[in-house]
Order: sequence, then C-alpha cells, then structure tokens
Amino acid sequence: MSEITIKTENLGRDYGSLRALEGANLEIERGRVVALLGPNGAGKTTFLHIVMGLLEPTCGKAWLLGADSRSLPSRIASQIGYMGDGDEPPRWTTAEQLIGLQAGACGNFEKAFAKKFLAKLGLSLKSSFGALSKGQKKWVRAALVLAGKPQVLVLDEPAEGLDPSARRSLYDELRDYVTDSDATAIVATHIIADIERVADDVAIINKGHVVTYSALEQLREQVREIQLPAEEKMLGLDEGTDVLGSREVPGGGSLIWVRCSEDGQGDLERIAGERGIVRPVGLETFYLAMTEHNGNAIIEKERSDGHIQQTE
Amino acid sequence: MYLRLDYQSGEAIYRQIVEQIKYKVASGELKAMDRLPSIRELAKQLKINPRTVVKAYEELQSGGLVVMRQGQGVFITAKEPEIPAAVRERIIAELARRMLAEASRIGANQEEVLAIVKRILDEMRAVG
Repeated sequence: MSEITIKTENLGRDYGSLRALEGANLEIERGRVVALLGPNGAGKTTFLHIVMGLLEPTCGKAWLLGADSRSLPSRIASQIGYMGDGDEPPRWTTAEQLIGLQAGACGNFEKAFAKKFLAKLGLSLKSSFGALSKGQKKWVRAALVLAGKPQVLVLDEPAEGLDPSARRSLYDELRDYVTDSDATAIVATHIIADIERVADDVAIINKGHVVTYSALEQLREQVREIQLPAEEKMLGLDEGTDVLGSREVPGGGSLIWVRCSEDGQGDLERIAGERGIVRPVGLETFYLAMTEHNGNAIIEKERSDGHIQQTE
Repeated sequence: MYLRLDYQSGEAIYRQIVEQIKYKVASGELKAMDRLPSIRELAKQLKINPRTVVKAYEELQSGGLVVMRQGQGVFITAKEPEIPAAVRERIIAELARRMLAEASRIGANQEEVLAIVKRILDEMRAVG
C-alpha cells in the first residue's frame, strides 16, 4: 500500500556561499497531503524546485515516483501538476482559450473538469485572464493544474489572495482530488488554518533545515503547551519529553511547548503543578514553537539550571 | 451522519470519529443494523484521508461496536460500547479537574461552570 511518491536523502542546495537547504530527509507516501511550512526564505521553494527537477541539488538526492530528480523522464515529469509563482498567461487570453491551450499540451487533460471547476467560483469562460482578481487567477490556475490529472501536485502558496470561503473550497477540492485519484500533494503555504484541516502530514523547514516531519494525527496527540506562572520552574521533565520551544508571557510567566507520548501526558499535568496549565495546541502554535520560539532563552536557562534535561 | 471535527482539541481525528459514533450509539441516534457511511463517503464528507476513517472503523470493529462487511458496508452491531465504569470515571474526572482549574483562573464560579456545561449539553442534544 505504502508507495513512496517523493523521497529525499540528505538533500542540500547552496546559492554561492548561502546554504539554502541542508540535510533534508523526507519520504512522502502516495495518497498523502503534505503541508510544507516555513518562514520566508526558509528553503521551501528550493526544496520543491529540486524535487521537480527544476534545480540541481548541491548534495544529496531526490526521487520523484522512483526517478532521480536530476533526470526525470518525460512520462514522470508529465505527472507533475505545479502551481507556483511562475509565468502568467497573457492578459487578453480568456479562460476558455487557456483550457484549449492546456488540453493541447497535456494528454490527460479533462476540459469538462476544468470548466466545472471554474463554474464553482462563478467564473465565466469568456473572462480574460488580465481582468481577474488575484484570487480568481489562482482559481483558474488551479483548474488548469487539476484538470491535467497529475499524480503529484506541487503547490506553492496556492490559496494566496483567495477570500476565506474560496480558500476553503480550494483545499476541499484538493483533498477530494487526492482521495479520488490516489494522488499525492505537497503544499507550501503560510495560511496554516486552512491546510491544517485537510493535510495528513506536516514538514516544517526553518533556515534550510527540516525541523519537523510528522503525521498531523501524531502531533495532535503529542504536542502540548504548558503555561507557568512567573516564579514556577519546569522541574523534572523526563527523558521522553521533547522541549520544542518557549517564550515569556507579557506580565510574567512563560509558555513552554513540549512533545511527548500519550503515556507521558499525565506526568505533564503533575509537573505543571497546581498553578500551571497544560493544553493542546493547533498547528499554527506548533509552527511558531518550532520556528520563532525555538531555542528561546527560557529553555536555555532552565537547561543550564538543570530543570530541563536535554533530549538529544 | 453529522460529525464535528475539532482540529485543535489535542485529540486525533480518528479518535474523535470513534468517540462521536460511540456517543451516537449510546444516545440512541444510531441503532443496531444502522449502516454507516462507507469509508470513501465519510472521508470525502469530512475532507480527511480515507485511511483515517479506516483506522476509526477498525477500532470500532475491534471494540465490537460495528462490523465491516466486504462489499456491503459498515453496520452498527447490537452491542453497546463497553468502557468499565472505573475507567469512565477516571477519564471524566480528569477532564473536569482540568476545566475547573482553568475556569477558576479566569474567575468563574461553580454555578457559572455548571450552567455552561448544561447549555453545551443541550446544544449537542439539539444537533444530535
């Protein structure tokens, strides 16, 4: 069952003296929707471009549907549906013309699917591309990509510029497409709440490193936020608990984010004590813990005081 | 069948499905021999991976609450969900303790908390 769609081994890329990506190891199974998160410039687009064969890695290797990304045969390259910041069609081309062009260029293209997709947002086939809003343009491009029936969807900020309801619809369509076609999707985005609903896995890249790659179901059960009053210390977190990040709360006290097995969760309550609070977190909070608040001073201090044991 | 998923509750989605179906059986909304949506139907309705639904249904099946019949569908069995009373009490007491601790921190009194619990219960009954 578990076929691997994308695999990377120690993948890295330098731009001159700048290391954009380093040591990326991922195995993405068929049928999954993967959220690729990270701050601007973290290496997300570099990663996607290497996987699709648009960019050579400086070290390591990537495979897409079993083929080396540096020499993807056309039968595999044609299975990629890519939506990125790339070229826009000329302003005057109509949606209908774009569908015609795409159908000519891509063997599997289903015109009826594309037309139906446009109708969902009430877009006319006669409207010229240049007259559309930023969000409507995204929707047209999504229609062109999905109607090509790709096995691998690579979407770089697909929902940018869409209003909340269209964003939700787009991700619903994406999820349905993956379920119906047993395809695989990797979606780089900053809009976390929407992707949280439909994604299976999350990969977070920060400063060129993959700092998390995990099933969302596991994160939901394992990641907790501990809120402590000002004078309280994190005494005795055991070895199985991974401290992810922390920050001070305005007015005193601190928030600490940890990841631990379900068995360890009772312990968290005990450690947090009478005045601490343990609560689950959503993907956005987890993301901030892994990027912005990772390696915060509170943790370093508690570690050096021996209140928190180093996990790795 | 209406299921409501909470992505930030700290509970895995498959568990939420399991718990809500158990609740529907316990409350009588689902009865023996009722047919549940197919794996694909439920996955598409909830916009989740079909494998998450499989995991939920398998857990319900191993608990004896549903039976999956190849080619026919997924059916509620006659059996009620069996969670030992002691385990049930421990789980609920833990949840209540957490809720009360947080409520008192924000200055809510006992009556307020109980009134809110009751209101939510009524709402859940109304939705089913």
